[in-house]
Amino acid sequence: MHKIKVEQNSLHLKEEEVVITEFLDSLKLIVSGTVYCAIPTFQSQTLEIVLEENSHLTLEFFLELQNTKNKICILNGENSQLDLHYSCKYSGENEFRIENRIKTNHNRNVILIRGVDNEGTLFVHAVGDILEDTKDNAYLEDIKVITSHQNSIKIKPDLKVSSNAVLASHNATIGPIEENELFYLESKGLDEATSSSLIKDGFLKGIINEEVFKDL
Amino acid sequence: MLKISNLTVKTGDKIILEDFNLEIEEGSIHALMGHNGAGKSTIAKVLMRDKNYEVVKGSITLNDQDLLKMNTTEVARCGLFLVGQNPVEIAGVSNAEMLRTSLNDQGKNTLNILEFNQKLTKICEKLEIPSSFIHRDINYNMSGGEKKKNELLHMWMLEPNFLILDEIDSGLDVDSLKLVGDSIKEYFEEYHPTILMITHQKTLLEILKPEKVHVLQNKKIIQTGDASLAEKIFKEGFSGASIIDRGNLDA
Repeated sequence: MHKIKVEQNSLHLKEEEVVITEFLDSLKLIVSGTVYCAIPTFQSQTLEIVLEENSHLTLEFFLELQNTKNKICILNGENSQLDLHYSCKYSGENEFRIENRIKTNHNRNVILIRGVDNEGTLFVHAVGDILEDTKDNAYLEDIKVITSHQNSIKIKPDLKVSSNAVLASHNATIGPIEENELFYLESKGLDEATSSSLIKDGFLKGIINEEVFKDL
Repeated sequence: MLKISNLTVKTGDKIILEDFNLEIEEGSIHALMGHNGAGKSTIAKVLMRDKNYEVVKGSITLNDQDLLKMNTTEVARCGLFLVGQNPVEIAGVSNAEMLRTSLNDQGKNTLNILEFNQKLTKICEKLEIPSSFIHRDINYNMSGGEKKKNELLHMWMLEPNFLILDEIDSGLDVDSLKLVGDSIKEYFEEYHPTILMITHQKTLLEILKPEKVHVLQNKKIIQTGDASLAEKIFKEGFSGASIIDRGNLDA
């Protein structure tokens, strides 16, 4: 896995595993073949992802957001796959907009978002638009957030499906830490704060490759 | 000595235990039996200070320490250790991470990371589980038997002095049940903990040989005896052994 600092507005990734440590305010990411990409910082930036025909991108974020406005736009080439895992702890006021317009066929996009409230707010606007005359596409959005303050998180799903031959779903779950998990760790001698911190970190790490981000 | 006196417990509006009394001498093994729903697991949860169970009156002391003044962490640090019927799965938190954090926070970790992993590996071998369990998420995606063995991995590392085994035998096949029973027996012989076991199964009673067997009915212990009481229950059932008045129970 190699680390790169991107100093131009466009980057072509092809059959590689890469960590993008830094990029400018906006970046167009063109993907060919099978690519793994990890991004540890995302600060009020825009990422445009172009998946070429027959490509497969696994894109993982493990972020501490503070007063950010981030945007990701996705464009699928025919028969492409995207696994997007966006894991964040948020403080301050944050917005995250994700747009996916599917104009081609045989695509599979899975978007997993995990958030932990660190005394902040997060507004997630998830736009999915599957156009008419497309076929055999699958689109899944799954958003889970741990917070004790329901008003710290606002999720706006905007899923428009104009095709008949598509599997599309949106799921959002918001709630505090599971009491039985907290009790379990406390019953092993951990105090409440440590138990809570382990559970939250575990929740965020659950969708990303921990080994990659551990080194960063 | 664990001493529970006149304990009344409720969850929500429902009284589960009423004027419940139990004494367990240090280093002894006691078994608690009774029909499903009699309140056996409630005792386990109350001892571990589960917030969902409210103590209305009574007292619980362990070697003259008032357990009711403690929270779950403090009770665990006193040496109490619960193995529940269906241990919780925690994604993203590994066994090693939890155990090391717990031992460090309690000032009980004298091992460096290499020695710590070596100790865990030896325990895994003893429990016939792969050493990959060390870095697996706690009970996550494990079978019923693996979860119970995983709990014993925690037991051997944390070295508690009071085990509460709440139907640890449920969901285990014959071989796993024997392995789990033998491991607890080995731990008992090495560390001499006090054990309160809640069970419906004969095998575990035969392996651990409790000194006293208590029968819980109508929110309190109605009979105490030696191992022969359990044998009688297994032969004749609670009703057949004239221990529980079925009509009274249904009422």
